[in-house]
Amino acid sequence: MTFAVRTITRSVAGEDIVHRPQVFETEEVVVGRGADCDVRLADLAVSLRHARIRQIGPGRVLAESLGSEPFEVNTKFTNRAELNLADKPVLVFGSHVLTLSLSAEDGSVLVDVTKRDTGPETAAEKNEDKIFSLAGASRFGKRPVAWTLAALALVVFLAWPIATYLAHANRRIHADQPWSSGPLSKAHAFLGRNCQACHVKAFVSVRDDACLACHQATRNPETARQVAANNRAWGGPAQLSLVRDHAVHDLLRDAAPPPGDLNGKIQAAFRMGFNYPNTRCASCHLEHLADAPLKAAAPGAPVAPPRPRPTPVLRMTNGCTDCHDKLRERLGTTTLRDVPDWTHHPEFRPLIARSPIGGMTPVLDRISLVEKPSDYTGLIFSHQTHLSPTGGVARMAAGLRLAGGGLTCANCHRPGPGGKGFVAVEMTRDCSSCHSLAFAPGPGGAPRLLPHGHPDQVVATLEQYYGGGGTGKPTAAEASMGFFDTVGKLFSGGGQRPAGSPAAAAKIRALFAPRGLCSECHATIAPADASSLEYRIRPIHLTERYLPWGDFDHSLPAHKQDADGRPTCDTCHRVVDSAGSSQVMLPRIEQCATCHGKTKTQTTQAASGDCAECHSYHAPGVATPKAKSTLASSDGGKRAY
Amino acid sequence: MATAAPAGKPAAAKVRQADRSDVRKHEGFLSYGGYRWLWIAVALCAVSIAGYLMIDATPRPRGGTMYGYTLGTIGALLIVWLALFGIRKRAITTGVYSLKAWLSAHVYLGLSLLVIGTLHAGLHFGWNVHTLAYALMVLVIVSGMFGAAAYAILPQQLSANRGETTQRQWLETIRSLDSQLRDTAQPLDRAEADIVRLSTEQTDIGGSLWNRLTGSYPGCRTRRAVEELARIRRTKPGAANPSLDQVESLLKRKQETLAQARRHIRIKTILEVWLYVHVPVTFALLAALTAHIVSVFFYW
Repeated sequence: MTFAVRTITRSVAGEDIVHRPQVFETEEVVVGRGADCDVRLADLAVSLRHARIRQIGPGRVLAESLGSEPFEVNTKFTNRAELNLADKPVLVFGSHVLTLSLSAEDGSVLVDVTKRDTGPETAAEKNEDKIFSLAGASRFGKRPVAWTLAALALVVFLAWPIATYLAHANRRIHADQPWSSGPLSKAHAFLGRNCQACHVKAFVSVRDDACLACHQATRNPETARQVAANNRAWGGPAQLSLVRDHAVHDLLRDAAPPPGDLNGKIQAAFRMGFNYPNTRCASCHLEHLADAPLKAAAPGAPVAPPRPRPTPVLRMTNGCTDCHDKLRERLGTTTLRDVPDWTHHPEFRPLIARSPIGGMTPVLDRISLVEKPSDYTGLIFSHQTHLSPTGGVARMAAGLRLAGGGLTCANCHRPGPGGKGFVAVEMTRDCSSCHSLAFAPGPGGAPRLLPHGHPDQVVATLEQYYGGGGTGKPTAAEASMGFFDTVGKLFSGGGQRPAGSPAAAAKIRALFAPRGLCSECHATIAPADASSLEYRIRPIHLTERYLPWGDFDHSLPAHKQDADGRPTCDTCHRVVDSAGSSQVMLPRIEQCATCHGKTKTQTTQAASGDCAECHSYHAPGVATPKAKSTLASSDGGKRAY
Repeated sequence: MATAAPAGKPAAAKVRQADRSDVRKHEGFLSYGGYRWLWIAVALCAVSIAGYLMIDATPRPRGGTMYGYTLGTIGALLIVWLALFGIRKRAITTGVYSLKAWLSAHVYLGLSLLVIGTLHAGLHFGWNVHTLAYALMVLVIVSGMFGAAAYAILPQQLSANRGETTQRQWLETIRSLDSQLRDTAQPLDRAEADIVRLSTEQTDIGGSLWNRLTGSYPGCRTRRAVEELARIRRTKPGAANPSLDQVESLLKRKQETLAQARRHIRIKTILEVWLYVHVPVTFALLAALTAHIVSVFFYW
């Protein structure tokens, strides 16, 4: 019996090299790692004497383990197998493959030994880079991860928000929320998810149209209804603060000072280049800063703001005097005077009524107090007489128990709501205690009063009373009335009451005559026709507010009393020497400057010389609310006007 | 100090001498040019901080002020320039614009970006794309700091560990030891051969990131083989077996070689691993930065 064992190796080029066979003239061959084996396999996975192969018949062999270790036959592990050589059976020991066949030449059993390429991999066979470099071993390369992260960021934070912007107003998806740089103020918080309410156009800064869509004071009722409906839909406030612009936009732009230093010029160029003007509402009213800390007005610890701030942060792009310093130079046609600062504030120019010429309505002009203007009131009145501590008025006031030693300002001038100003003097309310309108006793003892303010009704009243006849004598009740003496002056002739129309006419003429009751305070105009009773009164014009572009608060304690606690009425208005009604009793600006603009070392009554004391930006005739101005001042060192 | 070359010496000799001088006075990327870029970066930070403190930004400093836009522009340009290092580093040149000079500037200007970016943000952060860009920037810078520190410290350790051995030589040694183990183990019985196979059939080297960073291989087959062999030898005391002695010696040599190679891998991994944060996050940063800039001007 013959076994021919051939070792087959593979060349570098991949070709099989069949080595010279070892021939064994024996009944069986032993396969193993041991040196005594016929088929020696240098493989530690193979036992020293692993198996034997024995011929058991023509073309048939028996393979069986010599120990307990199995071997693999046709992909199955076994310890014993009878094999047909015609089938070219394959036996696997470790990494070695034995293919058995029958030699066609001499009938011997051919055993071809090959080593499997797919044997256990050793470290040395691994790729060097894979072992020593992270790049070779990493499951995720840097680049794929890098591109994935970048794409993710671009899609989530750029493409998606832009897509939702272009698709418009989906109320549930707000992909642009991560773009918000900070919380909105409480006033605008309801717009937090509606970016496009303000950011109307892409790459265009927030324009005034967006703000005025809600805040325009001069809008029509239909627009107001639409705004209210929109506000309700988005959960906005029921009440909006409506604003009027300080001036039309072109004037604001032209009045703004040109950039001064290099930094200003760069900023101006930047704003122009990027279409980012600083004359917009949003230039001063800054949003997305509702969590910004407040700085203390004085240097010190920051003050925690209310969370969130109730309104947008206010930051002045220009102070009042930045524009108003050389306003005439920049605007040319303006009637406003330049105001470089408080110390150079022009003298007050109150609205002065000129005497009506030809018509009954006086013309109003702004005339500086420097010119000592005469104001037309139409009244005959003397503050000097009324405020004199001696004389008839003082005695009458004492008789009426109005005041001791004469009248005071408060006897006639009554504070208006809030005490800021005064209500207009009304004759019947404020003067008639002394200047009685009673002309006759009436039923039940109440006096009959002349209707004030209507000469025609006065004439009609007297015609009716005296034209209807009567006893001509006062009754006992009438005689006892104190006011009768005063009224009696009306009726020259004294004891006899005239009867009939001629008597009434005489009374009427006496009333409007130069020394009559009406003429005490009014200039009367007699009818052209001597027989007519159509008397007229020169029109009255009492100016309620001389300085409509400034705000003065009479209720402020500092404005009521001077440093010594004395009332400041006469200090400012100096009416005690005023004999006529045409003098303008306003204080000069220097009077204000005795306190405003002064320091505490100069006067204990020192007050700010800031524009905001009397003006504000959106309503120049109203002082900036103190709380607001303090907030703005503390924020930026500039007052909000 | 380099000595003057004797008259008549070839120019090549001068060059070699100069080279040797350079080697002696070797300066790393951190100390390049007498710390030129460090001082430039410090100056940049100082100017930025001074401007930040001097300029009155109402109600608080932020990116939307003129100064904020200025810092933002500088920061964005810096980020783009720093990111271009990924391209620049692939071309090694010398001189003023050498790769080393560029890397030195990359490190120090990158660090200054931490100041510029923070001032640009006005120390104010939120849950938005703007802070995302900032956070990614910080992550890139911090990973870069790790990398710079690693490159400043570890190459010496790397060199000391491996001596004159190359990576390929380690692999050759392991391959040779495996081969010797297989040959030496041929006479051993099955149980002993299986122990040798533990080591020769799988060598634990490289492995996971954790294995590499810690140098710890809890299931190391070679170690197990050494332990198993010791256990077997304890059970058969006194039995002389030259093959087993030789196998034991070979296994220990392999263990030592592996330990050295693993230290090498550990250091190399530290030198490389930060780039797996630095580079991908840089890409994410560039994307987030784009989104940040576009969004600001989109909703201006």
